[in-house]
Amino acid sequence: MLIALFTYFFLSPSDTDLHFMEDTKEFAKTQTPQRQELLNRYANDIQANINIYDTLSKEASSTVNDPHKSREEIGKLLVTQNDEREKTLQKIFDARFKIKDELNREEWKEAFE
Amino acid sequence: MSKYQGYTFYLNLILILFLSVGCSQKSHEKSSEEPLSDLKAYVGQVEDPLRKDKMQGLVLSMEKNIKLFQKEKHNFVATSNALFYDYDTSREILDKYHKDWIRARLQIQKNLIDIHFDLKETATTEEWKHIAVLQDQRFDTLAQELKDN
Repeated sequence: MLIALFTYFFLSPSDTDLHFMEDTKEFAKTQTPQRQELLNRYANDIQANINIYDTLSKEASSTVNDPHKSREEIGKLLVTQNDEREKTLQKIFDARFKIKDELNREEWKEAFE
Repeated sequence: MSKYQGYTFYLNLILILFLSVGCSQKSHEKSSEEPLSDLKAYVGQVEDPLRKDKMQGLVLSMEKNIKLFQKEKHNFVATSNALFYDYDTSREILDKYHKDWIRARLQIQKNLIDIHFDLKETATTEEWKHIAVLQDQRFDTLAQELKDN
């Protein structure tokens, strides 16, 4: 159980991603249909990767929580699982920066300040 | 970006880092005062002096790592958000900051897992039943606090 909690809260994505996604969708409503579609696609990418991340976290928790596994085995598992989750976090970052690249300075202020 | 714009950008960056670390420092202090007080009290009652000393040392070390993690986590979230919402922050700057945080976090995670197993090996089966329950309760609360903050 202790290990499960470690693996969960150490790598959990912050609420910022969710707020950012919601603000993006809100801003997208004021844009042209094409742009709205593009921004919503990026925002949905964030949501999809948050879901993947949560699934990976649950899988990691159940695996490393096995009382029959040794310290070494758990250490190795954590490295692999951390890598997988890190890749997912990078995808969330990618989507966040695609949105940032899409907006000019004024739009960025309007959407997020 | 002109020379002047570049100069003000880096000044802003330093200001953001300073303010976000300062604010997050204040919010994490409350939650990290005594993260393992129940566990410390329980280990303090172990009769065998040698095992008691070892276990107390391990619990103190665990507490130190938890406090370090809370501090690092709050600093990271605050600074990372401030940097990201600044329109002039590039992906490279945020990636570098993120990688530094991952390195620090993995080291703390490794330390905590080592301490967890050392504690398990030092405790008797009966003691471990109590310690595991106390740890679960505390880490549950700590995890919730991290999310709330």
